[in-house]
Amino acid sequence: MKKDEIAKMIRIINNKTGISHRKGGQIQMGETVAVTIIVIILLVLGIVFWNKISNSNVEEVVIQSQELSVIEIANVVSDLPELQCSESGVNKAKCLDMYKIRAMNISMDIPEVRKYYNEYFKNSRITIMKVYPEPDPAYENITIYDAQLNNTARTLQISLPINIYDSVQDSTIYGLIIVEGYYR
Amino acid sequence: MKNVKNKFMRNRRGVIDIQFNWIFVMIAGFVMLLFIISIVFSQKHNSDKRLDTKVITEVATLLKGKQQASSTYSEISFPSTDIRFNCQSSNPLGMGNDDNLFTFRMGNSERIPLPNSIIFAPREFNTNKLNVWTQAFTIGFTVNVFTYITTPNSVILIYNPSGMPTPYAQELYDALPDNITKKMVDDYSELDSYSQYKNVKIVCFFDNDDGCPYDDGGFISNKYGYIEVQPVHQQPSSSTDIFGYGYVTFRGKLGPGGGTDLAKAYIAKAGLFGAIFSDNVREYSCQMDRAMKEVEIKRLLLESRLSLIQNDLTDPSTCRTHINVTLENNILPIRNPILDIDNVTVLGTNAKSLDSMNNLLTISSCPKIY
Repeated sequence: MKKDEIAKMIRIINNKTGISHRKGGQIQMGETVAVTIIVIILLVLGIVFWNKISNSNVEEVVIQSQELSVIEIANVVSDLPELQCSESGVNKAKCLDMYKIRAMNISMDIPEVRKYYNEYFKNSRITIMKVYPEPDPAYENITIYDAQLNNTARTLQISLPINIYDSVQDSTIYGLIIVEGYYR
Repeated sequence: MKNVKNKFMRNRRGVIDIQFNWIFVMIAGFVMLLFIISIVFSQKHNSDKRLDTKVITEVATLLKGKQQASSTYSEISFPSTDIRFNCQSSNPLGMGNDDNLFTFRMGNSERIPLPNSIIFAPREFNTNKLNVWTQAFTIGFTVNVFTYITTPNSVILIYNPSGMPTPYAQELYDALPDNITKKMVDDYSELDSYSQYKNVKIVCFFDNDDGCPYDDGGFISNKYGYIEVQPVHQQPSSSTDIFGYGYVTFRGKLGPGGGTDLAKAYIAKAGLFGAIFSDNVREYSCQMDRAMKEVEIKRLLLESRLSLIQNDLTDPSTCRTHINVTLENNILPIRNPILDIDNVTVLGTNAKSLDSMNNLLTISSCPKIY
């Protein structure tokens, strides 16, 4: 073959190889892009899944916190000196004075008193219920505080046993502190 | 020639291209670096804020919890941080019942309101430990539990001059908890030897004669300020008069400012401690204003209770008479009380009278006042 023809053939071969190289490169690039897209989709799915799990965990924590809040309010009520029985200036544990309960029930209509106790009782309703012996129906249940919130999703309720002392009759009856928390 | 020229231009273009590439890379890199650094700083800031919020929530919960028990001492430790207590009163020197807002802040956290807590503490300080002490505020009936806060860097100096000793000094010294740094000082020259403490409170007594340090040139007044306590003598008088009622004068640095002094009234042991643990007269006035508002709320409850008892007691009844007298003489007259120099005697004697009445009711087997 002549030199020119050989050179021409070499050029043609190089060109063809170049084309196949280019095609090979395009396919390789396509693969890379496909892998990248799949990885991104998997990542997004993973993030969405993790988000859902986190949200449900957060909801559980919120519910737990609300339940603790209701228990805290119940403990605060039973320890308030304004409600507790006292003897010679010493407050008695797990005992509420009936006349203090009735006084708080009446006084809660006064705005300053209600605003003051709102900091303790927050979004709740607090009822003192007499259980045993059979109470006078007029004073069976006394609601000392009611936040009266509307559009609430649910309420949580807790009851604590308590002694209720009647200082006029000098007698003690058995009762319950019922705390209902309002939560959205 | 043409080929050489073309080749030359291509080389030049390549050189410029390469330089532009590098410039572009540097700018892009710099921008990315700035972005990453800003993310790091914002994450750090958020993390600090979250930590401050967590710590302040825990400390606030502990402080609110201390209110449930009287005469307790405890210590709260946390990472060293700045703490600010802020009692805002529309009337700074407490000349009436205005709305007072009391908040608490640690580091960069949000202010946490403490609406029902009466806390006497330095206004601003940096510490890693709080010494917390509580005392019930009782003026015949329990109103609230006062909380007093100091730091390990605080000291209370009770000035009891050797030439003119007073029993009030020892009484006060014994009443303060041992865990709080307290010293009895009998010589004026010793007062400045405690300057290594960041918070120095000097307490002296006006007992017939002036028992306060002779402050030549106002050195002590300007550097530390001091509180002059003047109890009102009861009949019969005793060393415990100091915990009845009286006057406290905030002098020098503790006064309202401008080198002036200001006298305020105090009532009950808890009130006196409030004056001692307050940062200055403004803080004391603000907190006592808030306390007196609570007095009215508790008075309303007590009035309501006694009225109900009175109605339910059958006539004739010694108990009913006693309750009625208590209502008329002790409860109704102290409606909307204001603690000031003119009114403190009425409040103080009323508190004693309520105690006596309660004892009488106990002896008579009647329902007690509280």
